[in-house]
Amino acid sequence: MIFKNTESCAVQEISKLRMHKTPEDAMEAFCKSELQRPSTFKGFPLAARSMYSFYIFTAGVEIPGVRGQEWVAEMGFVPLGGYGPAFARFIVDNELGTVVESPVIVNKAFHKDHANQVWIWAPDREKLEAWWTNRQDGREASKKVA
Amino acid sequence: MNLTNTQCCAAMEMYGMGRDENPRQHLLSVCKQMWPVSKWSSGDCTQNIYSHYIFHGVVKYGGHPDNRYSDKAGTLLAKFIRKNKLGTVVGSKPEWNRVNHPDHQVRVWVWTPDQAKLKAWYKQNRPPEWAPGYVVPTVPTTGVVTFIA
Repeated sequence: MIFKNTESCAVQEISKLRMHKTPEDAMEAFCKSELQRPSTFKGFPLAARSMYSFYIFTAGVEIPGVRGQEWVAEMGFVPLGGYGPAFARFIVDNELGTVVESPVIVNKAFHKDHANQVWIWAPDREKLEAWWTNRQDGREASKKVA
Repeated sequence: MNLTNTQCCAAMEMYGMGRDENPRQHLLSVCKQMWPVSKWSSGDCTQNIYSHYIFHGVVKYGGHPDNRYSDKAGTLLAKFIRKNKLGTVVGSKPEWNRVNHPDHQVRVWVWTPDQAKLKAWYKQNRPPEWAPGYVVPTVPTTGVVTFIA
């Protein structure tokens, strides 16, 4: 997962979501990056250890007959068509914020055999912190058992 | 209003709404960039555009009550697109800009244009000088050049 600035200082774009094997892995990477970033805006207590208001992510969602799926599977990535909706569903199921999704539409300009979708995610910071803490606690507990 | 790439070849970002006069102007400006008349492009609107366009706007300013227009720029644009049936617009709820301006509320929209309707709207509404084949009218002169010392 890579973060890219947009033209708004309230919005970030998430790219390379496909590099994560599962939505949980992607969310873990997100938390590591965004929950542990110190605030540069000291005058406002709200901004302390805060994250951006919105994160946008995009994905190809229906790709009939696309080549290279075997390679993608061998590399251990989530196959095209699954990672975007899966991440959005994960956010909604775990109540980690609100997600708004665009319609699915064919990428007429560049890939006529691909359809794409865009999601806007407004994370719920408190719930995300709770999820992240639980996740870390669970890992430590499993280490002790091992 | 300007366009910039995202990391996805199906989506673009629209920004700089404060510079234009109204939603119609915003949209005309964007369409001009989608279908330019240039050395490489005829401006006849045959080219396929991106699938999604993302735009954002501050909907509430804590500290700048004078900047009334910008408060509404994003909302007005979304409304204009819906009213003219130029595609689908989905929008987020307002959120505080926690990291950089905690006294600003921001919204984000994704517009999925109906390409056929947008082309028709643009052809009908663009200024004549943006249309392909427009000839700049020449001003008749006397042919006499006067130098003033």
